[in-house]
Amino acid sequence: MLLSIARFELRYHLRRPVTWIYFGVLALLAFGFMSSDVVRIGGASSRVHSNAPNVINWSTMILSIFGVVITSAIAGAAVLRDYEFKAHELLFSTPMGKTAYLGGRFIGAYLVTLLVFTAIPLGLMIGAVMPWVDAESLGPFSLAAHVWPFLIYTVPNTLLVTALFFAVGVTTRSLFAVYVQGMALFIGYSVAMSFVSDLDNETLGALLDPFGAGATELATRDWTIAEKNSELVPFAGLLLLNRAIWVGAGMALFAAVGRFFKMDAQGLAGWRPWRRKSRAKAKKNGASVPISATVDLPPASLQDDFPARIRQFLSMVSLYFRSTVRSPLFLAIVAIGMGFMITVAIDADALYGTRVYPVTYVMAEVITGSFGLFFFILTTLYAGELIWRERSLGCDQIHDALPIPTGLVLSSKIVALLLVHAVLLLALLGTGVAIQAGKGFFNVELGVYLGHLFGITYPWLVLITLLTFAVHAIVGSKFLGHVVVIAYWLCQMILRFLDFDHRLYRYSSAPDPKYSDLNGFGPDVGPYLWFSAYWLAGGLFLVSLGLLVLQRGKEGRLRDRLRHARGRLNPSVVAFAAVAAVAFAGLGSFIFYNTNILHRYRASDAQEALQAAYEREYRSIKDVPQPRIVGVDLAVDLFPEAGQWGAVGDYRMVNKSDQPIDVVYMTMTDEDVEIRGLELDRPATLERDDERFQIRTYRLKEALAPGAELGLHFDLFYAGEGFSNDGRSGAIVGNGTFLHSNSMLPQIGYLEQYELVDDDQRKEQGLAPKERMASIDDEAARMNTYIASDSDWIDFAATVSTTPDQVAIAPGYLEREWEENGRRYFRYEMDAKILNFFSFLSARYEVRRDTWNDVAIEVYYHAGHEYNIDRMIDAVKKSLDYFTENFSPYQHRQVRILEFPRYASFAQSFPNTIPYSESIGFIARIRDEEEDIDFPFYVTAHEVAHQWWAHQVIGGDVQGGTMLSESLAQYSALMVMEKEYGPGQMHKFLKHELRGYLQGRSGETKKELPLMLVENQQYIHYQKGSLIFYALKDYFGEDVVNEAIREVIEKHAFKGPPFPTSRSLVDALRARAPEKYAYLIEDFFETITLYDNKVIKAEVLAVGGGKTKVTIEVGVRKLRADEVGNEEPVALGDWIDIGVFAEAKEGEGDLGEALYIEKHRFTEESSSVEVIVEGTPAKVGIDPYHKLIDRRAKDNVKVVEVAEGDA
Amino acid sequence: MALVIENLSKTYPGGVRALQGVSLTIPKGMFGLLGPNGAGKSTLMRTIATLQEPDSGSIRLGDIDVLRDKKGVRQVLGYLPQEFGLYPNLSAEVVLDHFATLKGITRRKERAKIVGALLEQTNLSDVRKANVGGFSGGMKQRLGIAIALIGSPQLVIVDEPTAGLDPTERHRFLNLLSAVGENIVVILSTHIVEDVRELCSNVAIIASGQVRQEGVPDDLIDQIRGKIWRRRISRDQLAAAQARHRVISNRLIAGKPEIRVYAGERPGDEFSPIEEPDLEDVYFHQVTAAGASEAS
Repeated sequence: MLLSIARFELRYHLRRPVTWIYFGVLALLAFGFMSSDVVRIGGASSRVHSNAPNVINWSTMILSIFGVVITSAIAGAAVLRDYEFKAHELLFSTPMGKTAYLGGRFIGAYLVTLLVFTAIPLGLMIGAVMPWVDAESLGPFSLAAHVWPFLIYTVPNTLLVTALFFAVGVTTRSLFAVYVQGMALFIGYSVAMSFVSDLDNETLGALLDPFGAGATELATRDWTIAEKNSELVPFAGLLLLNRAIWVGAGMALFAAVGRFFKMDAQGLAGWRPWRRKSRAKAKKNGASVPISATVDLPPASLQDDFPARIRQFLSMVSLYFRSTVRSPLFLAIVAIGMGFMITVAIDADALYGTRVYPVTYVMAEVITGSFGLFFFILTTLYAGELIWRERSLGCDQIHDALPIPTGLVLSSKIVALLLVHAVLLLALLGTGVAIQAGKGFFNVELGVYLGHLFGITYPWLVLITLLTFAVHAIVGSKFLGHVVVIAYWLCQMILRFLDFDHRLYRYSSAPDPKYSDLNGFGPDVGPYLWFSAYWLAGGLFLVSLGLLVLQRGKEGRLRDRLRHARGRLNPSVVAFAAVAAVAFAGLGSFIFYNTNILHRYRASDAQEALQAAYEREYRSIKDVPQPRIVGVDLAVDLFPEAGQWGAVGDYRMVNKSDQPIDVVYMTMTDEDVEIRGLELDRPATLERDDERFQIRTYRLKEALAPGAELGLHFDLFYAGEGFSNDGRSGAIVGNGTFLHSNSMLPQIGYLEQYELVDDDQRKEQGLAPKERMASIDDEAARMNTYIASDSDWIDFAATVSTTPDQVAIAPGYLEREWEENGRRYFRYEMDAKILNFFSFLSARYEVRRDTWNDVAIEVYYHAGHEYNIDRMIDAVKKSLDYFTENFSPYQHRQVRILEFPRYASFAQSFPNTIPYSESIGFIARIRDEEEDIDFPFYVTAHEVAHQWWAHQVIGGDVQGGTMLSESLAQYSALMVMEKEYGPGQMHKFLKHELRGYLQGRSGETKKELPLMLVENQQYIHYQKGSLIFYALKDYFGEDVVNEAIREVIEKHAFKGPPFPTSRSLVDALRARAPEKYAYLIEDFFETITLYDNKVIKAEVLAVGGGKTKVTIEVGVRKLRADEVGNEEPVALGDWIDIGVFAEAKEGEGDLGEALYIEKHRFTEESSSVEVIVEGTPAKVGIDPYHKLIDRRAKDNVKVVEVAEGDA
Repeated sequence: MALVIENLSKTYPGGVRALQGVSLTIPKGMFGLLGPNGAGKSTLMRTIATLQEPDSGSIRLGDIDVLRDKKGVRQVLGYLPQEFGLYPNLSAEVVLDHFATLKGITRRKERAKIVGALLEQTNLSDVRKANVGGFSGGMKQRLGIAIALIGSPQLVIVDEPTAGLDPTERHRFLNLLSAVGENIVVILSTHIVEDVRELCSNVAIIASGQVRQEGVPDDLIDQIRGKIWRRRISRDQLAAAQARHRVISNRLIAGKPEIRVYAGERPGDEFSPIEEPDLEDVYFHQVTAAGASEAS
């Protein structure tokens, strides 16, 4: 019986055309994934093959998650069609048992689903052999790579999802409930994934995620290029556990439903006590009451004037609204939304595990940022429900025959859904306030909430609601409507990938304003409103089209509806559509004028082509000697409110080469800067003005002799006209201007930074592959620093003016401040040479001042952001203490920290000036100094360290250059931090750094390099730099490291060209290395060396006198990785920490007091160590503090076992 | 105000000719539209109710051109379709109130009175607060007619309203309907002859998309008086009889088949005349005749 029902079910689905449509859609998506570059999943890059097992694994997994939509449709049809067709009473009265019925349906539906999902491997395989797929991007074919993910994801996931949908389907007998459950699954998945990215909750996240993506992420996130190309995901550990849990849960739920499922007309859905009551009451109404012979109704007047229409409209809105929000499903949706909000908001904006104050914009951005999919699904579902409400209830005929305009009905449904959205947003707002209160934070800014929710999210909701209704009205059926809506959004996404990214054709797209406490909703509000108005007109026009063809009455074919449309073309509809169309066209033209005429719009491929053209045409001038800038004096006028600035100034340039110079090239990097004047102080002709690249070629009448000076006077103005496709400039804004010199001023000579770096892009543009950086041995490249090719050390002075209520700042010391013509002027002069690297800031600042010895410390901050100012000042002082004592004197008389809006999240060190984003420390909340990493303290120390590392010693523009600035800044900051917070905090910090490094190298697209050859790769010069230098300090001793550093300063500070390379530091270290640790120089700097250390067994034996003998079996492996991550074991001889720890006390973290910690030398891959300690050991570890780079760090520590022995 | 239908035709995309040149004049009072399943009744009803458009023909209700001035018709129309559902989670009172608003009774006090009266008239006052989802078939049907009666319509169309009702409910419903049909046009579409006979002053019989006959029930009966004959036969004779005579109906009486035959003269000795033919005989006569012409 069971099998025959299953067979019947299978045949039923196989005969439905829609089954094969599902198959086709999945196959097509898989085909598209594989055969195009539109979607890049699983690390596919120029080095990871398009058909690498890891890519196939992730593609299969992502598609099978996306396929939940299909699974729900198949399972929904299997479980609900009997109710829908009202055949259930017929079926349930047959002798068929419920096991056979439910089980058979289930098996049939599950098999069909699996069959449909085989489209994924099929599509992937076919995609890989398409002729246009570059053979070089493919690895060898592997059947296992396709079958394996099908087995570990598709098979269990579809089983779980089918079981869940069956359970929900038979319980509620509502397809809508099935969809809502699908939404819950997606949200659960997002929540789990957000846990996975949090160091402390990753295991929980990996288990919570019903699809296994989280566990896979954990297992593969530090895979190297080589591993991605060859390895299958190991079905073990968390992934195995995850699969077992979720398949088990699905089956258990299904079994429970099967147990309680009754084959009766009402089912569990009828199990509602209140409904029985009303039924009983209805029965009381007996048949004996006579009916009067005539119908006698009071007189009624039918109104159809405007107020009557309003009343009818309100009556419908209230009916649709109430019937939606009162349903238990809506409550479920609200609960899902709130739960999602809470899980995302708890850790929002946390850095290094340190949370921020739950200020209002952080809460609000969770809603504007993370709820897109939630609202999209919700809108799609509810629009479909509402527009076809009467049809699905069966009162469409009654309703359609009422004397009300179709437009009134449609608009009331739209407005009802918009009210539903508003209710949801208010619920989320309430949740946000509750989270804030729960965290003990009561500075709730209602305006900020409303601005985000009803200024940003709500307009978007209005737009997608209009679109969805219009689609449903035009398509004419609920199911097809959903399909078209989803297909539409997929197309929009694909278009973006294909570089069609102009907002004029991406429905509902607008540059969302980003809120900053300094600058409110900022410069993008205007463009945002224009784009939103444009799309509103577009949406209304679509709705008016939908209104014309919306089915009313019984004839649903498009041809009939088009015929009816003619009858509906009354003046008001025509006027409405016409106004919408005219507004759409008018606003569109205005936007086009702004984005494409006032500004230049280039799709990213056009931009790449431009860069390639620049390289081809101008590469030849790279080695033409150019004068170098040696002095800059500027007068910069900032107009914050207008978003404009002007810069009048002079470059002093010198021919530092040994040849005469007769041609000078000058480039403005920002094409929106207007050149009002550009004049050399020697006779010259403008030979070429190439507007494509804003590069001007001047020929000097008389060549500039070696050593001779050349002056350049310029007058520049940035008018900030209109807006571009991405909005307006975030650099010059109402409050919180932060302008960087590079984008403002002319640059001299060829600018190599404009060359394309990505080899795939170069290939597309017909360029040969290119090294990312010049070799460490390239002497010529060392003639420049890594930050500029037209200058190095310069004299600097600037006058900056701004509005009277703001303070304007530039590097240098304030010489004079005055007001003139209603503007406030500041004159800054620098008394020593600085790098040609400066910026201008202006805002309404509060200032906190302090001093360290004779150095003035000033923090310029936004009122209300006082939280961490003291920590910053403290960090400045302690940094100056440490750096002056251990490195060299501080070259300036002042340290200034300047807050700027969170349009960017970094801090950057300019001479005596540190612009510091509001988002990376100003609102950090350090509640417990033992637990939380003092993030503002760390960032401040790092930036102060840059006054040495970059502003005293700066590396040449070759490999390893950034090790001297970034890695040393990390080391310096760690030393200051360790003095302040102790080694425990360091271990915590380094755990983040280790993870950052391992994940960073996994995301490498070109090649990984050893630390001393780093090519400006952040995961190497920051994260690996921290790890290596901290370990180095541990092995060599702090004094030795600092002595080597001092040697580098002595040799290179304020000197160059040529500029130093990482070699000078590595050599200085090598010269001082303790003999037994000398091998570390090669491991740490010259190679990529990894360890795989673990404790295999740890036994303790009491030996009397309070002493314990600990026997530890350890495994030690040392591996060398090549540039793509192929690992080779290398011979040992390494000194590694062995530690024995007491039971951890409250607040001590994982490890308790160290009873023993010493370095032991290991020469064999497995060996045994015996130590005698006092006290009671609880855990032992090899390299327990993770000083060495170990991909599996968790097995380094083990709980002790009591030895079975003869004690 | 009479409803005048002229030459109405409609062919569905599949080629089904649902209406073929239907012309009818429907005066005030109860008008029965009789026809078998698939005769085109619902198509005709829906066309009059502005829910469908004919390929050709015209419909006028008094001064209103039904096919052009849909809004005009809808203001004076009460329509109860064959099958319908209502918002299950709302009470009868709220549903009525909502539809009354949509109908145009936007003055609250007026509406409350009318809703109250309608509930009273349809005997739903006791359950006014109960959710419609829990209503029995008869209650739902009464609520349906209450909705149709909102706003004193001039034209009420009820499509197969008594199908599935128990006898008590059916009577109750028909009583209600007859009370309505005094001064306005009420079209009762049905295949249940009894309903029409009990209620309607005029009737039209429609089959295969055509009006077969139209008139006052008694006149129609008069036309076949003396031409209907009956005979009890055994089951195995049935086929032979059907081949020889124009059998318009065959029914079981106490388990034995009795056939009725239409014939100008007594078709044979075994047949006895039916002295008082009823409307059902008229109906069967017309339906079988339509079937015969269709087949030929």
